[in-house]
Amino acid sequence: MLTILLILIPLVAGLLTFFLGGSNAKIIALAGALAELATAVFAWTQFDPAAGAQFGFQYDWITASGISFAASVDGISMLLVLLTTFLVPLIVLSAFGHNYQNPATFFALILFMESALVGVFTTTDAFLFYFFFEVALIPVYFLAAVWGGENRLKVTFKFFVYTIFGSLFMLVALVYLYYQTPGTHSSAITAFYDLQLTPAAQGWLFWAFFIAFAIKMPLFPFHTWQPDTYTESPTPATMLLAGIMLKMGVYGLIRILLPITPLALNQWGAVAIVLSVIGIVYGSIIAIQQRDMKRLVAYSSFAHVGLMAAGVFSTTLNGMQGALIQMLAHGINVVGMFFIIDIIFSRTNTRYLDHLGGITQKTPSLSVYFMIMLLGSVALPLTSGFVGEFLLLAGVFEYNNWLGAAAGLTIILGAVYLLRMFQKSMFGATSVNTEHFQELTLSERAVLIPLTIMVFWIGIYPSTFLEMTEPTVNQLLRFIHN
Amino acid sequence: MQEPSIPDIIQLIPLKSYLILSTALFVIGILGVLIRRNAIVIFMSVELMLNSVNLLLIAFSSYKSDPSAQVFVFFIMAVAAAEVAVGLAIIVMIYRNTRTIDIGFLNKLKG
Amino acid sequence: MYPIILLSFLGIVVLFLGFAKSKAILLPATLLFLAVALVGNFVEWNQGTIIYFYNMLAVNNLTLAFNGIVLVSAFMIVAMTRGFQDDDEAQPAEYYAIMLFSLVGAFMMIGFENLIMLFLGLEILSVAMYVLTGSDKRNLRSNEAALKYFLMGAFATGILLFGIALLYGATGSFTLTGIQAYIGQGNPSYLLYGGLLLVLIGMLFKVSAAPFHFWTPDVYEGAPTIFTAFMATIVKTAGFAALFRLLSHSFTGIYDYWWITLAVITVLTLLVGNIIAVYQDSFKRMLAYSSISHAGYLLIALTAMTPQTENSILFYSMAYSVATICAFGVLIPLAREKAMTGKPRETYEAFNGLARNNPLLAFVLTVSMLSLAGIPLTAGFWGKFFVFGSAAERGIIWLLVVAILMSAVGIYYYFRVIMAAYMKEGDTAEIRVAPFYKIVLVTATIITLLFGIAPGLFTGLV
Repeated sequence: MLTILLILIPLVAGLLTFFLGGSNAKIIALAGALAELATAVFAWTQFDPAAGAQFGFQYDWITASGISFAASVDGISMLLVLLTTFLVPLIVLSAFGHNYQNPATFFALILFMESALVGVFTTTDAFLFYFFFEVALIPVYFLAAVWGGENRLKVTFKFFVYTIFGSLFMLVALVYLYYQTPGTHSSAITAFYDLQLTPAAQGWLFWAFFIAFAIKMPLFPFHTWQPDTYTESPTPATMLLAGIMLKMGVYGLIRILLPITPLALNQWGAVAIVLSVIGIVYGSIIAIQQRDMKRLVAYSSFAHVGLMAAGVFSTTLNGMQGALIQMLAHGINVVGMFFIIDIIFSRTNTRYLDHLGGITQKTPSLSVYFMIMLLGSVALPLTSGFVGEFLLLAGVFEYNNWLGAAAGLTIILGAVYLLRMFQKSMFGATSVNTEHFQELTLSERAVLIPLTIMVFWIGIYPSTFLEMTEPTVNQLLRFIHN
Repeated sequence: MQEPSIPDIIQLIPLKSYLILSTALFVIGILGVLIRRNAIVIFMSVELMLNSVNLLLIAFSSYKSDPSAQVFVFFIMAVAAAEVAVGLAIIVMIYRNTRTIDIGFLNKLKG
Repeated sequence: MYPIILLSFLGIVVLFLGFAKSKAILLPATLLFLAVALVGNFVEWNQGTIIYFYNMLAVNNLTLAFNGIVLVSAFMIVAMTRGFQDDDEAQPAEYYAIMLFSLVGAFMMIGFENLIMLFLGLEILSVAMYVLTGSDKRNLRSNEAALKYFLMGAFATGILLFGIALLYGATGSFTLTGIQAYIGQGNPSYLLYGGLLLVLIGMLFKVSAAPFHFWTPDVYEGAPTIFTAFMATIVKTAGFAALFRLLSHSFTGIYDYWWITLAVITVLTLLVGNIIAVYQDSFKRMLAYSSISHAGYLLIALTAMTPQTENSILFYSMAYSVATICAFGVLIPLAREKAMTGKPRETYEAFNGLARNNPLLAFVLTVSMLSLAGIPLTAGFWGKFFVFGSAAERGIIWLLVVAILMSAVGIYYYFRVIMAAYMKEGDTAEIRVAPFYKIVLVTATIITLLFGIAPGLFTGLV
């Protein structure tokens, strides 16, 4: 029952915002997002990691076809639901400083998006998964296409067609699997797990799913939509994309791809890992050359998600757990960084590193927050990124030493481009743009402080989250390896 | 001497010949539709196709001693007449507007 | 069966109403008659299969459901025809009567049990459509469309008839059961295969499947938009119902022979429809190609021919019809103004800035485009889903892959319209829409969304 509440609260709040919003839209939206967060935290307190899927809900949707509206929460879902519900209020809050046109629609779309995202992370029905997976795209498309930058039309269009194209492959695979299920057919994800599929069938299913999820994350070579879209979108949309939506892809790998096509993994897993590792190195190298901060973080996000995918495909406990905790950490870091870039942009009207500098002298507090987010991303011990990257690399090393070494470059290269960004924007002499840099406002601090707390929480005491997911991951791995 | 019945007369010629004849007429009709530029001639070619069908149906009907195909022929004739009425009306309408019935001049729609 | 009798009779009544001084009574009368026919249609609901007129016509829930789709589509389209009253040239009584008569043809195609009925139904529907296509008598584009439609239609009829003659030659019967029994004996004559092929070609012409589609864009573009909508929805629904009936009742015995032919045609149709649609500047032409592509999706279900096929086709026809009516319904008020050349504004630019001018129309347009593109939460998604499902059940994966790729292409051109409506600046001339017209569009949009959220409501009916 809690699950359905989690899906419905943002939907209802979104509708309220849309119809009653007007000038108070942002307040209603924030209240809705906080209510959702409270519900999620409550669910968390009730959550028993060892008990498997909980708070289940089932309602027959298309009765004759065995498709039901079914959702429940297990360890992996819980983690991602927490991430989503934690980030959305901050994303709403981060938009307070801007005067977006049509605020009611703007904030309603964010909440609709949250509803769809929670749906993706909790559903146990394959078609419902596809449904939410697609529906999540529509609000963010409109957010980017209506409130985005100059080239928004072209860019968001590419993004939209690209991702829809990918998920259509998933649809074929799901429809195929559905008709393989015995009896009157069932579309429960677990029913798909139990199918005895031939290696050949698993082979093409693997690629169908892989393309769908790889485009969403994105993995090399399906990433070409990503940097442009991240750059052109308004910052809240970028945060949704990078902070949460990207995780849908990784989640799909864990929930759908691995357990359904375990045999194909022996055959194609290596190719997938190599693609992921190429993405890591490629993304990092391009990030080094970027001068636009938003673009730089976009590429860094591309590199990080490559590492997560590599960890997942290693199918080791370390790799999986690392990927999960890293999803949480990355979501928080990347939202923090995009927000700081947005703050800088709103005060200086530029994101180009060459035009910035000396912000530390003006607002030391901002540079402290920035540093914390950066270090979280660089994976300094005791910050959020460290645990995840460490486990991920351990996982990839278990799989293959050479790949592990190549993936390890991410830490070194990451330090290079991130610290360079920090140095160029924060230190040095002030430029024309940064001369009159203003102090942080209250609402900006209200976003940054929770993020900072989380960075340290995950860095210092990751067991809170690792213990939550471990039973589920172990169970999954046992299933895959049998 | 008793008059031979019509089915008997029809059956003097082997079925295969009817089949070949009507197929030939049908193909001539198709070619006419595809090649000719004058709307009336195209129209006549369509009629030729329909009549080849009528011929074929009658032949089959006699050989199978089954009247249902002959009924069908009446339907075809009746419907073809209705079609002619509408078709000629359309052609007349176009002639009034353009003073030509060459389909080559019909190019207001791109494609 | 009742709607056939009712509409034949009421059509004549409408003609007589045309003598009345005030033309204002025609529209409500026609709508009333359609509603009567709709009620009459469902009198026989859930009574099993009933055979009428000495094995000429069958009625069961499936045919009644198809009839229902056709009637509801017709109702919506007729409700949008207020424009006739402004035009002195127009003869509304005749148009309404012809529309009602054409529906009779559609019903005959949907429920035919004998090939004679298929032929008659097809001709009643087609001849009516020739007239309606050319109804804008002074407009050369309408003239040209009518002639092309007429010549191609008559040509297709000829082919269909030759096929029927060959089928008769092989089986000695015009009835569906007779043909099925003949195939059941095994070792069918070569005439049967030739006949089937020609009948298929004739029917595929009518539903505009590639490579028999070339008349479609011109005819759709040239015909008055309201009748284009009629053509795109009713003719297509009836055509597919007839094709399904023919193949499923008579020819399942030689499935191995025809499925591959149909599969190739399906792929061609999908490719032609979707790829050429991308290059269109005219919205109406784009919808013409999109209708070709939707014929392709429907053909997938036919090709698979599983027990699910009938429901897939039914749901798809419904979703497609409703969305198409919305799309044309939005186009009509936008394109109303005519330039000197007699060319209405039908390019994508006509939609620029629509969201600001008239948010309601923009919303209706968006939902219909999303539904045609097959995005979740719309009925179109479930239509595609069921259709793809039947192909997956049959295990024709390559066909599915082509269909998926092409629906991705489809998203491109449907979204161009949405983008024009929402993100481009356009002229600010206000677009006025009559309240009644709005009700129709909103109802259609609600249907699309309702069945998009809960498709079970519809699939549970049949």
